Amino acid sequence: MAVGQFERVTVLIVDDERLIQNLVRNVLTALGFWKITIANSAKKAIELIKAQDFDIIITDWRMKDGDGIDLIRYVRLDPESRNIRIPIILLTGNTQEKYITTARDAGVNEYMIKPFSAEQIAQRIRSIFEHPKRFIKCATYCGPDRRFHNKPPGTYVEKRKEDFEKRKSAATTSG
Amino acid sequence: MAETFDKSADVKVFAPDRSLQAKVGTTVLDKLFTPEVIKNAEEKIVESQDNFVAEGFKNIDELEGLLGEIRKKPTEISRLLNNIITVAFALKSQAGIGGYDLIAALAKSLHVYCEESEKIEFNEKNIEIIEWHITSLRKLASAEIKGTGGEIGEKIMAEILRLNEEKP
Repeated sequence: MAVGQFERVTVLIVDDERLIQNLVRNVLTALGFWKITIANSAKKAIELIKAQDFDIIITDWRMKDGDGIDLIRYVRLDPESRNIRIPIILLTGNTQEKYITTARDAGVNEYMIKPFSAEQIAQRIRSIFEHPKRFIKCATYCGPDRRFHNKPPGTYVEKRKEDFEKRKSAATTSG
Repeated sequence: MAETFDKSADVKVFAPDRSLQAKVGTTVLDKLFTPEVIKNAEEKIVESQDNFVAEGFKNIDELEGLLGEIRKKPTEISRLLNNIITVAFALKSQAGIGGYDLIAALAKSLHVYCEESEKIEFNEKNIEIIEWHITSLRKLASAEIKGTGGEIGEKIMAEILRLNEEKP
């Protein structure tokens, strides 16, 4: 890996569990990220976001002191938000469709189910970097364009569908 | 930032933001996320599994404390159940990452049970079921039973199924 390739990319990890904080940080470090900040609550994350710019946010959903969805809504909707378009990856154990829909409607970029592998984190980051989506802002929604566009087989969309099926299968197996 | 504005629908559409690609200097991360890099990152996950037991015990301590509070403060059942759900949820995630599948399944059963119990009138039977979950979690964590837990795991999963069938 080219040393320092990610040196200008800042990542904010938001999780109240030290084990998960360390795990995500260690994986990101192994992938080449240097500038990593950790917040142990949604409230603390909002304070940090108000004070500085981040390029990617990786947040838990259910935390003892706050909620990852509230954090996403702050970033996307609050008039004081410094950058409503920050890519956000949601890490969660919520596997039910209703939760995925809630996260999507809040404007999340990537939804990742725990337990996860380093390869899965790398895939989500790859998706954010390589395939940034158009961004929509209207009265009822603010977030990445959720529409898939028709593309020939073997393209990114096909790969995402394949990945989704794999994750769905893994989530069913692991509970 | 490129932007279009549809007045009729009051919708703003922004072009894809490629500033991250500019910062990294490439549009293809495969060059950076080589199999060797991914393998190294996977090893970090394996290393972190060793920390599960200590963190898992903290969560089980907390669950026991919350159960004690439910008995003392039945009027605060809603808040306490919500706290149990949060802790059980965290335990499920940690156990899954740590390779403790049976503990993860039991923690999931606990938070799902509590989520459903929020909708019904709470009684002693509910508390006994929550207590059974927490006691079983303590036993499994103490014994550091990994994976699906063999014969013990089968018994626990059968008990979870039975409890689900007998939900008040």
